[in-house]
Amino acid sequence: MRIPCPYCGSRDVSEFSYLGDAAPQRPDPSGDASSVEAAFFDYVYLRDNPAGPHRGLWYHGAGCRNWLVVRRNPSTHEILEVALAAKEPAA
Amino acid sequence: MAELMYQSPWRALAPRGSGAGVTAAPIERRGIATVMARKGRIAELGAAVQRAYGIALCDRPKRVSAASVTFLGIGPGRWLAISQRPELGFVAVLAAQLDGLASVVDQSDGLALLQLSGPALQSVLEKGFQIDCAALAPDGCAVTSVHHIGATIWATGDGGFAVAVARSLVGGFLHWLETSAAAGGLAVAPDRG
Repeated sequence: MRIPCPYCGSRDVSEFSYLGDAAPQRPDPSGDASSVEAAFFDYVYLRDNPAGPHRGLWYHGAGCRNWLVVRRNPSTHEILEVALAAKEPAA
Repeated sequence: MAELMYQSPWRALAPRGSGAGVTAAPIERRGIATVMARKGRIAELGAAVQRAYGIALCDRPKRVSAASVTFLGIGPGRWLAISQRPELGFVAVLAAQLDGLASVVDQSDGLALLQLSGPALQSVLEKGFQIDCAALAPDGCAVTSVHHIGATIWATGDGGFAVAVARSLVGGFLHWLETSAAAGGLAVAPDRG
């Protein structure tokens, strides 16, 4: 598999490390303890497992050393979109 | 304080095979620094570099050179600056010129630079690099790996390439280079000065 890095161009997957799903956002730790705990349980442990396009965080450690958000289809290995994580709009 | 004696990182570089399919020439005594733009200061940084060195920085994996200084794009908002005149305190001067605009970190002792040229060069590079190095010419630059060793490679504009690897990994890099280039012959040229 090759990933088209927005800065470096097309590179072998061995140059990248996979972190995981790009969707989870750290919950606000203030507020009611039990709802915060539930939100953090969800944030830390629960992941969707879609049989289709999925956004994941990849680190281009052997290249430009940037975090990327890669939208890909794990069923077909097709890569649909790659963006620098720093350029992604805040959710 | 005791003055450390200069030792070339390439002192183990030796010819291999017969012929000169690839010619390797050490690039010694350079002032090298990484330049990392501070948040939102890229435009001011570009203007400061233009004023100081007459170089139009571009935020892409490209080599831009002036008289004795080269800037290589190594990541978004990051460059590797190389000077042929380190005796003038290049890195310290650069850090002062870019104060507040970029973080400048001295890499002069950490990186070893080698110039490669020759008719068999492309076929030898293909044995280690996982990118199409031929597509880098005439002014491209890439941070990648060769033989599992992190390397920065750039086209020098004369048909050749220069490679920067961590000084501590020169032994492994030379193992790859000598083995890969031996078939067509690896020749060694003197330091480019």
